[in-house]
Amino acid sequence: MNDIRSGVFRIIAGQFSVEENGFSDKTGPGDLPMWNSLGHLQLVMALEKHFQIRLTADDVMSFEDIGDLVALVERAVRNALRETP
Amino acid sequence: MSSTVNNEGESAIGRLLAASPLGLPEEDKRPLFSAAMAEAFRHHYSNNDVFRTISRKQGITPESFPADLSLLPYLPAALFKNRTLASVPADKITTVLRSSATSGTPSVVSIDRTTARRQSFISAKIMAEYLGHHRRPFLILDAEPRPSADLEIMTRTAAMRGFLVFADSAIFVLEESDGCLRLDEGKLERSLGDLDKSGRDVCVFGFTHLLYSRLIKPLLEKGRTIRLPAGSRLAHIGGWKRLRAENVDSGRFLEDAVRTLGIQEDRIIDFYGFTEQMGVIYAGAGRSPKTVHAYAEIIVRDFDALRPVADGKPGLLQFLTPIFHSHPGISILTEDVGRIVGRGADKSGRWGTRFEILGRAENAEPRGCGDLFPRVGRSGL
Repeated sequence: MNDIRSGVFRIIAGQFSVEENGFSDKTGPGDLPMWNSLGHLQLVMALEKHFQIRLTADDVMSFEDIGDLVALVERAVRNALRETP
Repeated sequence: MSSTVNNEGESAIGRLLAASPLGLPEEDKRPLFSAAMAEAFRHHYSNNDVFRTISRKQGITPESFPADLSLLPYLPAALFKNRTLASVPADKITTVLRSSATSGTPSVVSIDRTTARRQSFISAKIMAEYLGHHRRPFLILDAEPRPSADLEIMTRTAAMRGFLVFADSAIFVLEESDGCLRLDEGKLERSLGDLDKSGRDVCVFGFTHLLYSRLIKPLLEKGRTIRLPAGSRLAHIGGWKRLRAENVDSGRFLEDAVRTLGIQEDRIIDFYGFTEQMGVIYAGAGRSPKTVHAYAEIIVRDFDALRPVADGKPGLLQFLTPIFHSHPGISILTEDVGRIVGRGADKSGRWGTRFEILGRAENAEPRGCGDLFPRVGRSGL
């Protein structure tokens, strides 16, 4: 699951043009200049593509910070693995 | 969504937000809503000098909080014009919303993280009632916003925020050139082709005036129709002033949208909201009136003495909601005129007071984020 965490951090850094040490688990939407609502959607799309997962509307609006987002992606990846024949 | 509610802890506001938006009978809602309003009132009374002064003048304090919510003090929407009325310290403000009135004076509203979280949470719950819970491609009648680090954003862009939760991709089909928004016909055609191939239902989204003037009206003039995949929806938000000036009312809008876009009438959703209570939206599908959900209440007041009027009588619309923490927008008297047309459960089983908007008060300044194309830099959506 450490791979997921580092993957999420790498995607966030790329998406919002920030260094990976420029944010933490407690950083949330609005805390990074480019993390606006369109950025939020683009981040979700990038995560879905990278991790081959599908998030629901409830998922998209449920996370408050990056810590929540990592947990959400971990859960979605576990679910996707379970569903893979 | 539950994690967001849990962050409210065991507060009265948290208990109210845990309720279903359109599933709460009036007798169940009343105590929950009243307790949440009392909690919000206490916060603003303690932290906002203007709100406390107005409340004291009306003889209302946290100790004398009335059972009849029509006795609560209300702030006229005009009080927010070019004035910051914050109930939290300045370093807690994460966003400043500014309405897009070009000929009038803009309203300014400060938002902190608590307010932003509640706004996102309830707007998504309300939208889900009308748009469904699944994410789908959004075809947006607007220009793609430029990335921005601005603290201050326009109401129009902020209003679009909540909707993108329901998007799994966003295609912006307007382009900005020479200060005007024009339809990028090539992009629209390509997008429609792609969407048609995918077979997935889409949501066409935009501000009412832009949708009509940039898409529906040109299609009508060309005698063209678009066929969107089955199940597609149209969601629109914003004022009607400019369309009414062109003799386009909601009935004609619906007829023309059905004719040109092929979307079923009951899948065309008109959302209403305003800057001072951004995120607290009211929706009506097709020709249905708008419904007040569990997180708000409506009072209609007469034009002279501002006393509550009977159902069916027109007057100024007042909306109460406890969700605002950063500014005292918990009880706002708008400049919109409307009337209550029903209470209880409607035929589709949605609970809440139903109302319709009749227009703007005669002396009100023009505004409406979809009516007016802001000339201010387009900041983050």
